[in-house]
Amino acid sequence: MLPASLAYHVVWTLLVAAGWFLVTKHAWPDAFDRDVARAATPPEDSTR
Amino acid sequence: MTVVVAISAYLVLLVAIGLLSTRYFRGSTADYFVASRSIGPFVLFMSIFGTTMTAFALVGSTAEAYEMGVGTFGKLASWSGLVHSACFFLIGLPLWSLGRRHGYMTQIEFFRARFESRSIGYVLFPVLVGLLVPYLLIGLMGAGSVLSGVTARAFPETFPSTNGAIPPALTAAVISAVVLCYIFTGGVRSAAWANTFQTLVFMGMGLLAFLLIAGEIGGLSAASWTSDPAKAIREGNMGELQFFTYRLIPLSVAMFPHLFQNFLTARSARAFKLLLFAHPICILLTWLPCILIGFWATGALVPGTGTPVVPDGANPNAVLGLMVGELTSPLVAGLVAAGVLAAIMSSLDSQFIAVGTMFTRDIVVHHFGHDYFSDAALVWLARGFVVLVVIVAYLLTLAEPREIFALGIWCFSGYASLFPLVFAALYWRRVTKAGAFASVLVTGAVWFGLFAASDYGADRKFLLGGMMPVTAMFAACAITLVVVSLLTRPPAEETLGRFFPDKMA
Repeated sequence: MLPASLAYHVVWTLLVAAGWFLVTKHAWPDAFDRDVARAATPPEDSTR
Repeated sequence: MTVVVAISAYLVLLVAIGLLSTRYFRGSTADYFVASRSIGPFVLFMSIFGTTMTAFALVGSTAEAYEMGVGTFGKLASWSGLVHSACFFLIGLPLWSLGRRHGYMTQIEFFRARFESRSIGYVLFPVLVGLLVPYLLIGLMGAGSVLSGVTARAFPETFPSTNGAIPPALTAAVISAVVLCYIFTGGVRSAAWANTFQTLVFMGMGLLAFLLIAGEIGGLSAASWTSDPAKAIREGNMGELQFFTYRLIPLSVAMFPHLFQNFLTARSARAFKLLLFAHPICILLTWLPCILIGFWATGALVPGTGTPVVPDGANPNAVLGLMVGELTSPLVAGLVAAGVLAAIMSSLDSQFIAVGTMFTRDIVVHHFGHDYFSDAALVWLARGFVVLVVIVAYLLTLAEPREIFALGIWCFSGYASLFPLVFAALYWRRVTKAGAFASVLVTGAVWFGLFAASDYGADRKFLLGGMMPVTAMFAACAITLVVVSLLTRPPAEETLGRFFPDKMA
């Protein structure tokens, strides 16, 4: 149904999507959201 | 007439969705330029995907597959799935974080701060806008060509000079007005909502055309068996070096000003997750049907007549229109045309806003200072610039020759060749202001030299030693950036502390 040279690239694209899905599940850098939240929070009053 | 009714209904629905989103507009520049950084995962993904897909994803991919075979998918689509997501992860995510922490709304604001230089903005501004303007024109002209193709002979008395087709200039005017309708009031938020709808439309219409055409020519297997076998392989249709160096082109998404602005609309870093893995899948769902339609067109016959659907010598850009027109109904032809317009407009709206934002923030606010205008006045200023940009772009479509389509690959090459600049700005502490200046100027000179050598884009098969011209531009940018940076004084520790806080002891 699909020419072999096209089928190969279809499989590759699906593997790429699966790879990125694994990155979001297991290697996600939570530091980005943490840094932004830290920057948005006013520093505690040290005189208290 | 059915085609025009289908397209008109689509445009009305689009304006309604765009205007509906303006109910959430908060009246501030932060909302107009970056939707108050509040966009969630689904709309972010659909908006960015719609912005990266242009008319080329439907019309151009079909034409390329018809001419160059199924290798077109490997050359353009499958690598983009990996590289685009990598750019979103490695470039988009850190830029979102920096934009959120330091309040950047444009690329130039980021580069000015990172390179401790006001002047770098004045060098980058004409380069980034200069490359974006032809990209805008391609969209407007693409819309004109598509509609004149599907309405040929429909209005012989009204438009006798165009063989009864709706004139491209009229289509460009209507498209500009429709896009302006929703971005004028709601800015980036309206564009994001509209793009979500448009992305669903162009993906859906591509799949619909694919299934109906496959059914008409005897099913998926029969359609492939009757196609030209020479187009089922890459060899003989494009060289290896050309195929592999084409893979630098998708890096352009890291430098598109309109994508930068889209990144900044994200509510959180987690909002990027869906984008990373759904983007390659949607590239597959959008491109594969069109590639196969182009491939099948090499052998498809009009049912009951035995004559080819695509006659010898036909314009490749007309292949999708011919396949849909000959093998489906006028209603489907209208819906597919609406899908092509959706792909075009989902890029146009973001591009118009990006240029308007850059004028407002990088030139006016930068020159007069942040306190010179009130926030409300800045929103109106931005709206004025957006209107101006739309009018100028429209007027340019009237003045420029049709060959502007050939400029598309040169625009992408220009942005892709500046990838080392943004990558180094984010990941290399040692990159300097002088290195940035030199790399932008050298890249611009190499770009212009090669562009002139290609007879200003007229030679569409222009290669450099069998490689795509982007290879030389990319190398020039990277080498200049590294060499000049190493020869000049490093950035101040204070600046590095803002951009690499974790590495400061």
